[in-house]
Amino acid sequence: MLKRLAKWFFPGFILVFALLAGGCQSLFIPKNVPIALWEGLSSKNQPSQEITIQSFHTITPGIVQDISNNGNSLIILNSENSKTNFNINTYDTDAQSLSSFISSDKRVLSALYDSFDAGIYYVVETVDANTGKASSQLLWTDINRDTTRVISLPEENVVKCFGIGESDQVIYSNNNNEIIIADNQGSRQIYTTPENYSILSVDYMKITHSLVFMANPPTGAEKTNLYYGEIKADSVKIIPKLVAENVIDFDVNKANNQLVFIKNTGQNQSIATWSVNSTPQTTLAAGNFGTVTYTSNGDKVVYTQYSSNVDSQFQSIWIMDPNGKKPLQITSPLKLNSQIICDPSKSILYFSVDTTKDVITAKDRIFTQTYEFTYTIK
Amino acid sequence: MQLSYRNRMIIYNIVLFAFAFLIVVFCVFQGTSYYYVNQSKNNLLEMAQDANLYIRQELKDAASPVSPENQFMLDAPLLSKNIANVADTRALLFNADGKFLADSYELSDNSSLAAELSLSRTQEIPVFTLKSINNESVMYFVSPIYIDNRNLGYVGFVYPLNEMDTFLHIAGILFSIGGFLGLLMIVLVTLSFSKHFIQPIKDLTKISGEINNGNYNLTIHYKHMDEIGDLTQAFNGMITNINNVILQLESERKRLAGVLASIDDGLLAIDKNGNIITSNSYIKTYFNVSNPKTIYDFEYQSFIRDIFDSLKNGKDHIIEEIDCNDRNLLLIGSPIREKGFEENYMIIIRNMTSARHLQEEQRKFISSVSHELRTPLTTIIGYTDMLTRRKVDDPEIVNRSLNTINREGHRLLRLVDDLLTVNKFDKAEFDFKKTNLNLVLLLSDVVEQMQIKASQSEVDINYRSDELPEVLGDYDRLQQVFINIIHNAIKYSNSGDIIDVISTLEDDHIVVSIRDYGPGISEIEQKRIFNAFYRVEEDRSRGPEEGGSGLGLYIVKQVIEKHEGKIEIVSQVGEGTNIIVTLPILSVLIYGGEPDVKALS
Repeated sequence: MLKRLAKWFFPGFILVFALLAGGCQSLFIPKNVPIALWEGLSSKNQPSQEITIQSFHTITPGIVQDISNNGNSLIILNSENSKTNFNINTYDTDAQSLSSFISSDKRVLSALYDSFDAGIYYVVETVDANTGKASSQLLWTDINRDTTRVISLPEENVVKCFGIGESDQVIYSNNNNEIIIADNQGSRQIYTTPENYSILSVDYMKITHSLVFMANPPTGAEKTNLYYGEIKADSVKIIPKLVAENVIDFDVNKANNQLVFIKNTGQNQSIATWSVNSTPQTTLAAGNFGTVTYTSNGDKVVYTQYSSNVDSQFQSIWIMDPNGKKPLQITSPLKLNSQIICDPSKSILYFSVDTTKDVITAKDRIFTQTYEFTYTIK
Repeated sequence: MQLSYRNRMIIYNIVLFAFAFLIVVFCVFQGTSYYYVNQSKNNLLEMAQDANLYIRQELKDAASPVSPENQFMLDAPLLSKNIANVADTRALLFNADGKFLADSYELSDNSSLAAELSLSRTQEIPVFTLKSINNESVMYFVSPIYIDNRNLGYVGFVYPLNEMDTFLHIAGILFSIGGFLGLLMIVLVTLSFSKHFIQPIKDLTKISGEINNGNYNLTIHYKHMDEIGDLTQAFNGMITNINNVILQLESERKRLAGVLASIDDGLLAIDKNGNIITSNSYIKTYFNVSNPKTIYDFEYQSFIRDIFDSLKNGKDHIIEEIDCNDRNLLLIGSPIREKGFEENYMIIIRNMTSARHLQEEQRKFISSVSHELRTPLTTIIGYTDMLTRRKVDDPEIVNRSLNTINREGHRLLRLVDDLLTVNKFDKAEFDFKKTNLNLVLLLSDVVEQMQIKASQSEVDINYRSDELPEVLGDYDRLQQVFINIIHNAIKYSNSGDIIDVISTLEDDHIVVSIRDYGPGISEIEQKRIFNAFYRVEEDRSRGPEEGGSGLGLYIVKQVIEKHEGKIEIVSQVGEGTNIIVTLPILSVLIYGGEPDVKALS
């Protein structure tokens, strides 16, 4: 018995000791030994393409909303932290100068150039002094600021996210869940859906003369779905077709009428595309995304992604091919406060970033700056 | 020290659990460490990427006339703080020569990344080191910074693996508690289950012990149909089979013992080592040796050992005749050969004493018959020769010779008749014609017949009898018996003597006593008087004409014994002789024909 014990004791002891000691020590990665990460970051080792930052600088305070069709002008919303004075400014990208377009006591929620850059459609929010009830209206002001027209009806409460249609038309939805296509000349066409969709955002698809909108489904489920509907000349009814569920952002490729959108899939999100002609979705990427948009010519997809290892408020901007290949990070994580606006003809991105400290004035406060980011991809 | 099966089972289970538990702990800790370190490595690479882009953006944003390298050195403190702010970890910046520029934490110790920085500068790639600082896991990381394909400097991170440490700490505590509880559970469960598992084995052991003690009528009861159940069933089947075989063997043994006991010969079966395989009761009778175990137990019978040795030495058949304890024994030794078994030996001891005695008796009988035949024939031949050769004219001599020849001729006739009678008795098919008869009447008839003969010899016969029950017997033969006895009494009585014939009932026997007051018979003659051809000295009888064949009393004795009775002689020289015949009374009345033997028995 003792011989048998002795026979098994030493190997057993060594094994137990190794297991106990090994359980507390990482055997796969040795301690106190520098390890070179050959697969890691190195500009020299970038496999396929490389981003070169040509310039990265602030152009003006405020939140960028849209860029004119010729790319010369940006719409910048700036409240200057005032609760009573809200401005719509335009920024001349060539002259690099800021001009005041509208100054109002009403909060401007969103603004877009019309299709001819002849004016700006914008949504303002008014608060009844007596009741405190907020309502929003859609207005149009010509670029010379000579004429301002109220596009929406007084009884309408306009949803802030609207789109631009053909020939100075604007497409928006209201609190009655109607979709209205109107112009600045006073014509308007109301479209309704068969069921009560609570519409949150709407946009126009020129090629197929159709619209796409994001809405809560009639069932009342707490999710936002993306729907597609054709506009027919002989009907005011829009028959929605479900594109995807749990969508948080989308964009229309003006060049080919393709849709790109971000949808929640459980704990993660994915970027997918959908085309009228090919119903199945194509997933491009998976991650934790914020916004997605096509470049003006539709040859790239620009999207923002929350970094997994940093504060969740920070997003970095990435760019990839429309088929999801060649994803490339082009900025460091930033506190983005706007959509990414792509220049229609240049590799320039415009976006607004929140900073907690005004470097110029050295004051600690929320300060939104719009940046111009010029890059080249080799 | 030999541990019990149960204790060994407990120890094995504990050891097994401990090893399995340690392996699980090992895998969990190693896997977790690897996962966290790998995840942190990826995070650091992303952070380095972000820092790279951030520094490029900031340097481009500066739009300063100074070179990016100088601007980098100028802005390093702010850049490191912003990088650390975004990355939420300590960030350090170094220039392209590895010189420290800024630390987000403003700590005095900025040389801790020296090894990583050195390797990164040499290889121009990111480098990390896993360290343990104050029992906390920390990853030191350095990565180069590029701007416009130029090495601008290096960014370093000191990235604590708090989450991993916390997880491992909690996991360690939970594993310790779990391990202790698991160990406790294992001990309790093993104790409980081992009892359950061991019990059938204990039962098997107990019953095996009982079987070992010869008790085959036991079975184990186990209700589960599992491996133990199969074993139990097989064991019970085995016990049943063994029991059947043993019963069969026992039956065979008893049968064989019965056969051996029924053999009239002594028998010894011996193996080649001299051990007694079997023997029967005649061995004790013949040799006074009880239950011999080996051939050497026959201490005083060396002839048996001699026969055994001879058989062992290859002799096939040995026959010896020896005298032992007043017996004449025939010993027959032979080997027992059976294919597949060792050679054994058998010695048969046959008692030849009676056979030899019978042979001697027959020899004597033939000699006596020859002698008895020879005597009268010699007399007859002598007288006839004399009458023929001498031509005797004297009528008295002739008459006397003829009387002698006649007498001897009658004597020969009686002798032949007696021989025929004796021969009849010896035949198995001879049987008496028994009926229930009154012995008083029979004796009265005999006495009356013999009174004539007695009166010629001036002897008186007195007959007295009690009232007697009937006996079962052959009237003529019994009459012959008593005539013969009374005739002998008359023959050996003197003139004026009396003969007392008395018949009485004693218990369930009738005793008939014939008493004479003649010369008596010596003790030696008393022993032989009932033998064939024995005659007392002729001079004691009263005349030569009274000489018999010598078979009279022999026949008497045979007849009495055939009637389940007995005959005794009480005599003393000079005092006379008393012949006592004892016959059983008839206990069941028989009305003609043969008695019912079963009823009689």
